[in-house]
Formats: sequence, structure tokens, C-alpha cells
Amino acid sequence: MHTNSLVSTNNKRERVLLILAALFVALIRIALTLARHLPWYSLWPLLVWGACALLLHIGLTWLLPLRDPIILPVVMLMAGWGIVLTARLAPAFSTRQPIWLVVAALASLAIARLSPGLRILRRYRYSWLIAGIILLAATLIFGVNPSGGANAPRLWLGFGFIYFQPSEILKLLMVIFMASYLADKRDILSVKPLRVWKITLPTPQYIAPLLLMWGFCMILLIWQRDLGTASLFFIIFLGMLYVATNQTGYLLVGLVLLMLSGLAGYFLFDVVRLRVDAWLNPWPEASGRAFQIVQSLLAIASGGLFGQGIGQGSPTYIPVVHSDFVLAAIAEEWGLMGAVGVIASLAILIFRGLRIAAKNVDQPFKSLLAAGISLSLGIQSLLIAGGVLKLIPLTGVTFPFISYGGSSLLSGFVMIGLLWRLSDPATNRRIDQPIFSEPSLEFTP
Amino acid sequence: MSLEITLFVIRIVVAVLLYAFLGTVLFYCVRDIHTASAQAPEKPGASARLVIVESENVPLEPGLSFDLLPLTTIGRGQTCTVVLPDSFASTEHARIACRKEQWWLDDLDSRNGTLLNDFPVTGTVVLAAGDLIRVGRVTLRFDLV
Repeated sequence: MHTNSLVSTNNKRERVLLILAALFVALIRIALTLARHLPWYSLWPLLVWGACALLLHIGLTWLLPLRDPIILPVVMLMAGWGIVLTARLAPAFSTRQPIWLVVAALASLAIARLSPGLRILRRYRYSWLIAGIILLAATLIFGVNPSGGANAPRLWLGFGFIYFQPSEILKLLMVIFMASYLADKRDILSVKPLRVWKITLPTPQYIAPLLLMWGFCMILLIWQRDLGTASLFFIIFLGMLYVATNQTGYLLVGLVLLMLSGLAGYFLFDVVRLRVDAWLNPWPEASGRAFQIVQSLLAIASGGLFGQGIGQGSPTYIPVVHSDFVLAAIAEEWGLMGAVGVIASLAILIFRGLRIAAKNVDQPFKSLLAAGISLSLGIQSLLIAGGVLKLIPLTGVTFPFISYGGSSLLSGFVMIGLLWRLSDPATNRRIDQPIFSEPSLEFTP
Repeated sequence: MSLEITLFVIRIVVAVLLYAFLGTVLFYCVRDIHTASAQAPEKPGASARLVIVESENVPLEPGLSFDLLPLTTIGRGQTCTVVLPDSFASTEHARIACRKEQWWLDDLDSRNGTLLNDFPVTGTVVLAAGDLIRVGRVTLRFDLV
């Protein structure tokens, strides 16, 4: 194979795209500094961003020369945009986000470096998921909410002045667990179904462990009132089951269940009722309970095609604009042009992820893991973008890579680290045991 | 140059940069697809088949052929790719899979076993054109197309 020429094209492509991304991030940061009359030394996050980009580019060239070259620039573009937006929307957090970027970049490099990494993830799937569940359960007892508020859900664990959201890690572990479980059992799940009145269901003994582990996660998330993450988990679960088994029946049953749980949630939880009411018609309570979504719509409308200009709009009227509603801020200051740019970047990322899944189709664990990661990024963005635009009821999840939030950035980069590994055909040839026993080359009579 | 004009110029440059970035990415993606389709080997999908050679007391015509899928199961069960209405065959009797451009046969713990050229199959074995596979009372020939 022309490995050498492939490696050099890969590196060249990554360099070209990174330079374009760097120019973009630097210019929007400089424009922000000019528009808001910020001191020039406040440009230091740019240096941190540049250092991270350079470190990742050099590190990956050395570790995984055949990785997908498009993922890094796209992710860095979004992360850089996120840093600028944090400085714009929540100046109090503007120091934290670049530091989290360094942590996240190092974590993704570590994932790319660890030699037995993926096999360990696969083999000890129950232990990993249970560890994640315990971490999440710890928030029931020790949980805090960094922005205070007596009734706010306490989803974070605090260590000194660092706050961490275990549900982000649990999401990743859940995807790994499902990929591992389904890679082993998908033959059984899709070949020997139980038929109940035209709908094919899997045999209970094989679906039960999956449902049990997933049920634990859901109960904890609902207990915490972290309903955004709970709905995200539910849809990722359905999506991965469908990808692994190719049974449309699962999707139909799942969608009916989703509708039913939404209906039950409407009567059981005030949060859900509020979100659904605000989605159906926010205007009667525009200055009350639906304030956030109305402000978001106004911000998007005032952005128009080309936006108000960087640092020249007033997106800070929207509560928590720096995390959940970051897309509304982009739509206000960069206009439709910026919003389409963000969504296109994410679409490219998901496309590349699914491409990795398609390329590894003979290795079910790798393929399902890549598909699961792409699905979870895609569904998460879809939920929050749809919520901000009032297409669907609002679910409080972060916009990947762009929203302020250390745990979200970290788990995003870990996912990307896994994608890099899965995209390099030269590494991890043997993570995946074949579906059936390894073929021996000798002919055995 | 006043601040407003500077900011306006930066905005235009930023928009151009953003779409230049996305355009370059798109260009690379399209190039990838072109190179991939140029390098793609012949699909092994329908490039092999099983032909019935002999079927004593089984309602299958000799000469009947089945195109192989990348993962083909042979057996009595209706969910198999190649269904053999033979009471001597197990529900899921044997499997032929295409891996690394080779076709591999393995016996799925069937009650009466699978014979490859009159030898019982243990483990996974590679198939060559013209091999005779016997499942129950049916003999099938493996042909590359």
C-alpha cells in the first residue's frame, strides 16, 4: 500500500485545515477584544488554543499516522469558538474553559496512546459501567450545583474549585458498554427473535442484561431530575440497538415508549410540563416561565442572515446562554451564516464518525463504538439545537464542544480520542475478536 | 480606520474563512470518496454460490443454486439463508462467511455434522472452488462465479 504517501497527505490536510481554523479563531477573538474594549492581555486563551492544536497535531502524527485528518481541525474550530463565546457570554468562566481544553486535549492524547486501552474497555464492560453508575449515584449524596440555587438539580461533584458532571462520563461508558455487549450478542439479538403480534422482540435472556444496566442509568438520571440527559440516553440506546440489529421493530417500540414516558413526565414532573407548555406556546408567559425560550427566539430573529456582529449583540439576556443556549448566541452575533457553519461542522464530524464505523464493518465492536459515538454527538446536538430553535421541547443538554462546561468538553474529547484510534487501521487490529472462532489457515480434515 | 469599519472588515474575513474551512473539508471528503471508489476491490458479495449436486429424498432439484451472502447460514430453519427441507439437517447447521476475500465454512454444532469433501468439518476451514459440502442428505458444490 502507499502508506507513506497516505500519511503525508493526511498530515498536509490536517495542517491546512488547522491553519484555516486558527485564523478563524484568532480573528473572532481579536474582533471581540476590539468590540468590547477588552485589554490585549486577555488574548492569552488564543495561545493556549494554539498550543493545544500544535500538541495534538504533532502527537497524533507520531502516535496514529493513519488517523482521520479531518476530525482534529473541526473539533478544534468548535472548541476555539467555544472559548471565544465563553469569554463573550460568561467572562467569569473565561479562565476555566481554556484550562479545561488543555485537560481535554491531554486526555484525548492519552486515549490515543494507551496501548491495551480498547480491549480493556471491551472486556470489563460491566465493571466500567457500574463504576460510572456509582459515580453518578455519588451525586445524590455529595452533589452540588456550582451556580447555586436552592432547588437547582445537583448534578455536579465538587473537588475544591473544580466541578465535574459524572453523567457526561456515564454517557461515554454507556456507549462503550452497549457497543461491547451488542458486538457479542447481535447475532442472537437479530437472528432468533421472539415474535409477538407482527413485532419482533429479542429473546428475554439476551436483552435482559442490557435493559437492566440501561434501567439503572435511567432511574438514577430521573431521580436526579436530569431529564435532558435521561432522554439523550434513551435515544442513544434505541439508536445503537437499531444500528446493531437492523430491526425496525425496536425503533417503533422505543418511540411509543418515548411518547408514553413523555406523557407520564408531563403529569409527574413540573419541569417537563413547563418545558412542553413553553414549547407549545411560550408567548403568554414571555416574561415569566417561558422567558428563556422567548429571549432565545428574539436573539435568533435579531441575528438575521449575517448577525449583529461579534460582541455587538445582546445575547446575555438569555439565562444560561453560555451553556445550553450557546447556539442562540451564535445565531444572534454571527447570524444564520454562523449557525449553519456550526451545524455543518458537527455534521462533518458525525459523517466522519459514521464513515469510520462503515469502514470497520467486519469488526463489530469497533464499528458499533464509532457509530455510537457519532450517534451520541449527533443526537445531543439535535436535542439542544432543536430546543433552542423551539422545534422540540427544550432538553437541558450541552452543545458538544462549543458550550461552556469542562465535563462536556472532556467527554467530547475522549470520544474524539476513541474515534482517532478507531480510524487508524494500523493500530488495534486485534481489539475485535471475530464473531465466530478465529479462522485457522491450515486446512483441517 | 474607525473601529466600526475594522470590525466590519473582520466580520467579512471571518465569514470567508469559516466557509473556506468548510469548503476545504468538503473538497477533501469528496476526494476521499473518489480515491476509495477507485481503489475498491471487486465486491465479493455475489461472487460465490452453492449448487445442489445430490439430494436423496429431499425435495430439492440438483442444479439449483444459491448465491452466497457475506454471512450465509445453511440449515433446516426458515431463518437460514439456504433452507434445506431435510430432516437430517439441524435448524442452523453450518455457516459460510466471507472474510479477507476468502470464504470460510464452519459447522454450527450440528447433530449430524458437516462434511467437506467427505471429511467432517471441525473448526473453521477455508473453501476452494469445486469443494463438495454435505449437510444432512444434501451435497452442495461451492462455486466461485
